[in-house]
This record gives sequence, structure tokens and C-alpha cells, in this order.
Amino acid sequence: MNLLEIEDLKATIAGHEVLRGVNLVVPGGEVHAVMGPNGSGKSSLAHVLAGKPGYEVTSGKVRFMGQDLLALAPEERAWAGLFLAFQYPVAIPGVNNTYFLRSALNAHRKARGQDEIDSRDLLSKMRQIMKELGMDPKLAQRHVNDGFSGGEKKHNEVLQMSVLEPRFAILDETDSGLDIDALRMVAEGVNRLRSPERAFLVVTHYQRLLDYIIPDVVHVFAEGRIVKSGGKELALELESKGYGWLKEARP
Amino acid sequence: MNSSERSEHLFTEGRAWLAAGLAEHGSFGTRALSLDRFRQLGLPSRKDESWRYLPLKRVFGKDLAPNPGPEAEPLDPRLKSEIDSLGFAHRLVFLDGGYSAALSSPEALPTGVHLLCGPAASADAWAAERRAARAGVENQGLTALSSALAREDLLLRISSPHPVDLALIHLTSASGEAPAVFGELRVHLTAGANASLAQVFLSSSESRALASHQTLVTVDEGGSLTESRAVLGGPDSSLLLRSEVELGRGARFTGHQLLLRGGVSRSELQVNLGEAAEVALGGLALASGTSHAEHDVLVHHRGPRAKSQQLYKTIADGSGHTAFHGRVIVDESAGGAVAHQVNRNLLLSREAEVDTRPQLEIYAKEVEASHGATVGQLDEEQLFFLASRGIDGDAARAMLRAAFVEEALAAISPEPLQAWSRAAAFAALGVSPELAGVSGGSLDVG
Amino acid sequence: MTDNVELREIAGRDYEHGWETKIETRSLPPGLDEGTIRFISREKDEPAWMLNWRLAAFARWKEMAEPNWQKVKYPRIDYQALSYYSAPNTKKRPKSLEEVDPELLRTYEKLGIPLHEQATLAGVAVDAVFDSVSVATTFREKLGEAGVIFCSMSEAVREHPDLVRKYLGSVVPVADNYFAALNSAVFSDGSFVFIPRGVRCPMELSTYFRINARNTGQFERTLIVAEDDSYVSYLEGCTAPQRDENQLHAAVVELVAFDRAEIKYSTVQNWYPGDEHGKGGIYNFVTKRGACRGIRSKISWTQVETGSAITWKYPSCILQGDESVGEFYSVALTAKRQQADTGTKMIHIGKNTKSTIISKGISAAHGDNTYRGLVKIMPGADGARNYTQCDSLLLSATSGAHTFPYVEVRNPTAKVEHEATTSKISDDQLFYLAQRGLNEEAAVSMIVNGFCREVFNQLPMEFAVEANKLMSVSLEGAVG
Repeated sequence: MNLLEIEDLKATIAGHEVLRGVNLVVPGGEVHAVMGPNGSGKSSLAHVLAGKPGYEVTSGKVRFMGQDLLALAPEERAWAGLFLAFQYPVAIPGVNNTYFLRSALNAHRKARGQDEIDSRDLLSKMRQIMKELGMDPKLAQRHVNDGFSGGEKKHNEVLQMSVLEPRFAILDETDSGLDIDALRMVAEGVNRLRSPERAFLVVTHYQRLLDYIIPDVVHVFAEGRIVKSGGKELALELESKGYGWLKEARP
Repeated sequence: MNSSERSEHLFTEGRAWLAAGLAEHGSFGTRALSLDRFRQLGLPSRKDESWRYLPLKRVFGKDLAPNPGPEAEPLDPRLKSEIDSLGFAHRLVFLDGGYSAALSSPEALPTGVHLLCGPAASADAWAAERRAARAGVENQGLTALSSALAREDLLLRISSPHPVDLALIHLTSASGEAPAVFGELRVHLTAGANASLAQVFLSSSESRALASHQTLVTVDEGGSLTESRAVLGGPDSSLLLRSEVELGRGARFTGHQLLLRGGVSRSELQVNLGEAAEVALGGLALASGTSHAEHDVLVHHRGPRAKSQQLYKTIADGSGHTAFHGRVIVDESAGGAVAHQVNRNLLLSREAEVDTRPQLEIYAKEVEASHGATVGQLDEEQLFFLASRGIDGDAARAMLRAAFVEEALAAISPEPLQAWSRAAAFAALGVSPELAGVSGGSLDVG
Repeated sequence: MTDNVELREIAGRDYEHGWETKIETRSLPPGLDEGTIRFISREKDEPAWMLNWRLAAFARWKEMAEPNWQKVKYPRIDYQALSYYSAPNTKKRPKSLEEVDPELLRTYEKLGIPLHEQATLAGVAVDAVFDSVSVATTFREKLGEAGVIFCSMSEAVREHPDLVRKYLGSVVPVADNYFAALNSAVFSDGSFVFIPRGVRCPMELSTYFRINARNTGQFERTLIVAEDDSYVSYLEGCTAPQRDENQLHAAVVELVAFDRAEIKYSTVQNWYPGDEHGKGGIYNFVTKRGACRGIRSKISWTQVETGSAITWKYPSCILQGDESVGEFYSVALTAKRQQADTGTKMIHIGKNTKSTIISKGISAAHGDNTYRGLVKIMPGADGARNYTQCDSLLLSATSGAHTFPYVEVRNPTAKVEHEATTSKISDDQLFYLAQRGLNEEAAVSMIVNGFCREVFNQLPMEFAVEANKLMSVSLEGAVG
């Protein structure tokens, strides 16, 4: 079954066109990588899918597990199973990380007609995830991303993803600025969630992350649309040739 | 009556009150000097920069007269139950400015703590010297008036080097159209003494009184004082607090002022820092309905190498009005000063207003000083982040409001006062008590 | 810090425009009454309405009190001891540059402002004001071709009475404050600029103010009107001779910007600051205000204040039009015994209005420097934004640096941010520069210029260079 179907998606921000006709289908069980130069619209696609205010969709359709994704509020998209790991996660001083995760998880459960999670169950689940991924347990006690290093923020995004267990996760340059250990941790967080019911869209600059998260399909983004798609070997080709040859190759 | 006639009326009534009750008292002379000083300065006016944003008419625009005496007990049962709910082991209760033995907890005060009342306080040589140094040279009319007409001379002396916890509860229950209640408490921490004070200012819900309370604190060399104060007035009350803290060499003061409820509440704080003294201040002001809540803080670096930091927050909702006036002065002789101040304000409704005036006055060269102030709404990026994690609008807004005040509440000690203040703050903000854990504390994952 | 004799000597010589022009003048004796005002008005051939306007202002002024809230100290000014008019004694008004007294032309040349058009900086038109009158305005023909009016205020009152009547006092009302009322009664000259609809002014406009006569107050009045879709950049510079007594300068500047119009107003103020004992120097009490009346209009104030014994000015913006923009960029340096109390007011009335305030204060020697500003968001100003940054740099233990912002917000969709810092130059920076071979004075000068960079960047190129030089000169001997 296709989890996500994007058809001719166009969007603007502050009058500037950032998506110029994106077509993309992601079936369950697959990992799709999106690569491309700075400013090509990769992050805009992630933001539009999550429903960030400020973007205006000017045409196109997005179906998410059979629903019209664009008709949903950001929190409804989350409840439906869409997760965005932010490139620059915002800090929320005063809100405890564990308290926040419990609230988020319970909001998901409530929307699905489930009871609230028992706090002890959540805590033991968090403990287990953090232990498996080798995160500092203190992360759970601190305020959401407040005073976190770049690496810690990305750890926190992976922790949230692991607790919320989305059907479809978008990782927006989650690898940027990470050392090799942190990179492995992010990859491990994704790989342990991989299953036929789930899919991932991994937005990245570098081929490096794809050594650890093996993609099924690689798309190249340029000027607001996908200009080339291929297998994982496409990522290696980009790594050695850069993006220039794609521009020249285009009509 | 206009403002100057009102001042004159208060002066005349005040003189009669003094003559009738305190003519034989040791402090009569200095009180008379202070009253004359009040006559010169008058009640606060729009021209006083520090009173610029206070609704003066609402507070002073009535024919105020000194309250004749505390109400006959028993006390308003609601006030009584509110005091009991605080659950302090050692509590000293002051009713309309005078000490109430009946309402205070019967247990003996901790070792090294002495409360002197009335003639005993006026006879204390240390206190008399300080009183004499101030009387007649006060720089605000209301300060002079409060010293002149304070219900009773009160001196709390703490000389314990081991930390002592103490709760002081100030009740205003005066009834009638326009009674004015005055209280003045001197607190003396001797060299090396260590104390933690919880002060609560409560006004009965019916009271229309103007209550002016002064706390004059001296912390001798090497002493350390923590004070948390919470202010809860009634819808028609005006609670005007002033606190002066004198810090000797190397002394430390940590102070928190919470303005949680009440018609008009104002907390004035002046801290004078001697050599290498350190002060950390925090505050919160909440105004919804038609209430007005304001902080007026003056941190004065007088000795070298002193340090100060401040974090003040306010929320204005409904037709509420909050104001912050924070001044930092660094004297020429106070080189090596470090002074930082932050003021954050949330403005949540069309009818509400927030005013802020952070001020730096620097006369020394070796200084590291800064202030920052913001006025705005809940952050849109944060709201989107919470939405993307499935936490919807109302829940997200409540969470961010609670988190905003938590930063100020978390520093409050002792624990019973913190919990009680949190309950009052959340009630004022319309935030569910379930959000009490928003900043953590009892959550544990380790 | 440094305490060498050589530096002290430089300090005594540091005001390079302190000389006096010897020229015969036609001056009023000291004193102020209705007769003074009638004389000024007659001297300028003014129509009756202008005289009546002045007299009404004078009546209001007599009822007003001098303000005392500012953080500056000075002895009481005796307004009857000042002369209110002084002009070079020429038989008739010069019609062209050829008719201007050569002594005056030499004066401006010496100040670095040659008035012969072929010698001027390309692209800058100059109105030169000497004491109470404008002596020359350059490039008038070229500007006239574009429809731009640029002339002295006296001439505008005679030649463009409808425009002047419509806008004079419309931004700064006659009785706005004590000094504005005084100016309204006795203003002598200044510049008038009118940019018609759709015109981008083809060159920079500039006025150069010179106080020369002794015991004379200067009261100039400037009015700039920019119609829809127009643009103008205007610069002013000021100097005065070195004298032992204080002299009063009380100017009023009014700016009006209509739909999508933009006015950029830059000042390099270098009035004589007095000596290191506080003797002499100009009292600079100025009211400057701009009204952004149209949608998306923009007014930008940039000021570099290095002169004057006392500076009291708050160039402000009334942001009335939706999406209008106000900016204030300021460098104020106080050395010797100088005192400055300066800042801005940003009044947000229209929707989505934006303002930016960048203020840099430098306090040296016995200087006292105050930033005072108001940001006010009115209930209708949905989406209003303000960002304020005030930084103070202390160069001596005897100077003062103060920051007094007022923020008043009455709209829950507005965002206001204020930040301020006060510090001295870090020893690490000084050491780093010393290691690279810069002596302390050079290092301080470099660091101060860096500190002011954000503001200097707003100035037109020639002014930025001038400002840089001025800062270095003003700081000579002031460090320590």
C-alpha cells in the first residue's frame, strides 16, 4: 500500500515559489532519500508536509494513507502518524522533556480512542530506548531542547520518534553537524523502526548517512522539484560528481 | 478633595492617631519627623517616574484615613483557612500591621530568632539608630507615611548561623470605605546569620483597604538571606509593598516576589550592595480581569565587585495591566560590578497592557552590565513544534503558559509556599492544576 | 590607561573647526520680545500669516516651562541675554553663487564644503546656512528639472507658501515642547525639500550649518515632504567656532512621507563641544520628528553625535500608515565634560508597522551619555514589531553611561524586543591588537569604530569616512 502520494505539489512562502511541481510516491516498508543542493526546496517539502504556517500550497494533492493530508491541521497530521524530525528543533524552556513526551503520546492515544499511557510504562519505554541507542538519560529530565547542543537536539528528535512510533517519518537533515557516533545513533533509531507498515523520507546533503540507512530509492531535488530518481547507487554517483552534471543534463 | 487636600487630610488624621496611641512611645519623635516629611512630599503623583504606570486614582483617589485598629477577632474564616492551608511549622501572623499572638503558631521560635514588638522594639538601640537615620529624609511620601503610621514597632532579629525557616503572614482585614493600613517590620541578620523567610501578604476578599507594608532588612557581613514573598489581594484591595535590603560585605540575598492576585498590587524592592555582596532576584506578576500588578526594583551597587542578577516575568490577560520598572545603578566606587537583568512579558488579550522600563545607570568603568526585555505572545514556532508532536492549540497554549510561570515558581522555597503559589498562579491563568508537573521535578526516568 | 603628555597636548587641539570668520554682520542686540520676532519676519519679507504664526508660538512659549526631566545639568539659560538674529551684511540677497561674499565661500571651503558646483562632491547638492541665514544652495537647476524643490526655508515661505502653510507644524506642533515653541517663534532659516509624486531625488541633498557670531542662538527649521512613491536622502552637518561661552542651538526638523515614500535623514553633528573643563560649547536642544503617513512609507534617522556640550534630541517616527517602517541608528560620543541625552520615539499606530533602533553610546573622560527611548504600540497596531539594541562603551572611570528605555504595549499581536549592554573595552582585545603592533590609542580607536560599524554603514559613503575620522579625533587624549 502506498503511504504517501504527492501529485504536482506547488507551494510558496512569502510570495516566493519553493515547490514547483513535486511528484512522489512512497509505499510502506520503503526508505526514500531526498538529496540536492542548498536552497533546492528539500526542507520546504518537509515543512509543507508537516503543515508549517507561512507556506501556501498553490496546487497539487497529497494523500497520506488514503486521507487528504493538506486538509488536516498540523496536530491532526501528527495523530494520523506523520512525524517530522526538525533540522532546527525549537527550544521550549520550562517544559520538561518527559512531561512533554507524555503529553504528546497521550494526545496521539486520545485521538485514536485509546486510554492514557501509564506513566511507569512510558518511563520504562523511554529508559529502554535511551539505553539501546546510548543516549544520556539526563536528556529526559531537561527542558525541551533548552540549552541542548546540536547533537543532543538530534538525539531528542530520535527519542521522540521512537516513542511516538509514527507510520511515516521525515528526517530533515538530521545528520547535519553530527559526529560519526551520533550519526550511527540516528541511523539505528531509524533502522529499528523499519517495518512493512512504515516508511521514511530522509532528507540529506551527504551520502554518508545513507551508508547507515540504506535507501530503497534516491531522489535528487533541484529548483523545487525532483529532477532524477534512482537506486541507492545514485547517491554514490552524486557524491563523486556533485550536482552540477544534473543541471547540465536537464533540457 | 484633590490630591494635596487628601494628603493634608491624611496628615491631620495621622497626627491625631499618633497622639492618641503612641505619644508615650519611644518611636514617637521619629514618627512625627516622618509624618512631617510626608506632608512635604505628599502622596505619589504622575510626576513620580516610579509611579508612572500605577492607576493612582484607583489607589489614592479616596479620602484615606488611618485604620483605627485591628478588627475584633474571630477573623474572616476564609482568611483563617487560607493561613492554615499554608501549613508552616513556625508562623508569625501580623494583622493590619500589628503582631497577632493568637493567630501565630504556638511553638517556640527557632533558636537564634527573636521577635520584639511595641516598646521592646522601640527600645532596641540598633533599631533606634536606624530609625533616626531615616526619619525626615525619606525620598518618597508613602515611605515616610508608612514609617510614621505603622501599627506597631516590630523587629525580627536572627542570629542563628544554621539555616532557619520562618513564615511571616501579613493579613489585611480592615473594613470600611477607605481605611489605610500601615505596617513596618525591621529584620536584622547579624554577621554570619543564615535564614529563609516566607512572607505572604493576604487581603480579605471584602476589604477595600489600602495596605502599605515595609520590610527593612539589614544583612550584616557574611550573612545570607533567602526571602520568597507572595501577594494575594482581594478584587478591591490595594497592596503596596516596599522592601529595602542592605547587604554588608560579602552578604548574600536571594529574593522572589510573586504578585498573584488582587485589585492593585505593587512590589517595590531596593537592594543596596556592599563590597562583594551578591543578589539574585526573581519575580512574577499576573494581571487578569481588571487588576494591575507591578514590580519596581532598584539594585544599587555601592561597593566594589558586587554581583546582581534578575529575572522578572509578567502576564497580562483580560483587561489586566502589568508594569516592570527595573533600575540598576553602579556607583563610581563599585568597579568590578556584574549586573544582569531580564524581563519577559506575555500580552495575551486586546484589552490588556504591558509596560516595561528597564534602566541602567553606570558610573564605573569596570562593569559588565546588561538588560533585556521582551513583550510578545506565545511563540509561534513553539506552538507549531507542539502541534507537530500532536499537542493541539488549547493544550499547547496552556502548557506554554504554565512553563512560562514555572521558571519563576520553581525557585520559591519552602515547598509548601511553592505549591500554594503554583495553585494560585494556575488559578489566575485558568490553567489546569494537572499542568503542575510541566517543568519536571517529580518526574524521574533515571 | 595611557597618561602621556603628548596625548594631552593633542586633546587641546582636537576641535579642528574652532576658528572664526571675520565678516561684517547685521545682528540684533540681545533680547527677546514681540519686536524681535517682527524684526526677523520683516528682515525675511515674510507674509502676514507667517508673522502671526510666529507670534502665536511666542505667546505659547511664554507660558511654558523649560523641561527638567532629562539627565543633563547646565546653568539656567537667560533667554534675554541671547541675540536672535545675525546675518552677513550684504546689501541684497545673492541671486547666484557669483554674488555671494567671497569670504563666506572661503569659510565653507575651509570646512571642506566647496560651494562651486564643479568643485563639489559629485551627486551632493548643498544648502549652506551661516548663522541665521542660508547663503547659498547649489544644483538648484538640476534638481528643478526633476521637479524637486530644494531651497532655504526663508525662500520657501515666500515662493511656496501653500506647501509651507500646509506642512509647517503639522508633525511638531507649535507647543510640542519648550524648545520647539521657541524655535517656532524665532526660527531664522533652514532647508525646505519637496519631492513630488514618483520622483527619486537624483542627488543627495545636504545642509551645512555653521554658527559663527558670538552670543547668538541658532534656530533653524527644516521641512521635508515626500509625496507618494518618492525617495530622498538628506544629510546635515554642523560646526561652530571655539568660544568660552555656551551658545544655544534649538532646531526643529519635520519629515512627512506619503504612500511608499522613503526619507533617509543623516546627521553628523560636530558643534563645538567645549573644552576639557566644561567651558564653552553648544547647547543642542533639537526636536526632530517624522510622520510616516502613507502605507509602506519609511523614515530612517541616522545620527553621529560627537559635538556639543549638551545634546538633547530624540528623532522620532510616527508610524501611522499600515506597514510603514521607522529606523533610528545612532552613535553618540561624549568626551571632555559633554553630556548627551538622546534616543528616539517609535509610535506604532498602523498595522504591521516595524521599527528598528540601534544605539551606540561611547563615554570617555568626564562625558555623560544617556539613551532615552520610547516604543509605544497602540491598540490598533496589529502585527507591530520593534527591535531595539542599545550598547554602551565606557572608556574612563569618570564617565557615565545610562539606558532609559520605555516600552508600552497595548496590542497582543505585537512583538517588542529590547536589549542593552554596558561594558568597557576588553583587555583581551587590547592585548591582541597590541601584539599586532597597535598602540593603545590606535587600538581603542579601531575598536570604537568597529563598535559603531552598524550605524556608520547607514551613512552615505562620504559621511561615513568623515564620521570615522571624527570619532578618532574626538577620542584623542580622552582614553584613560
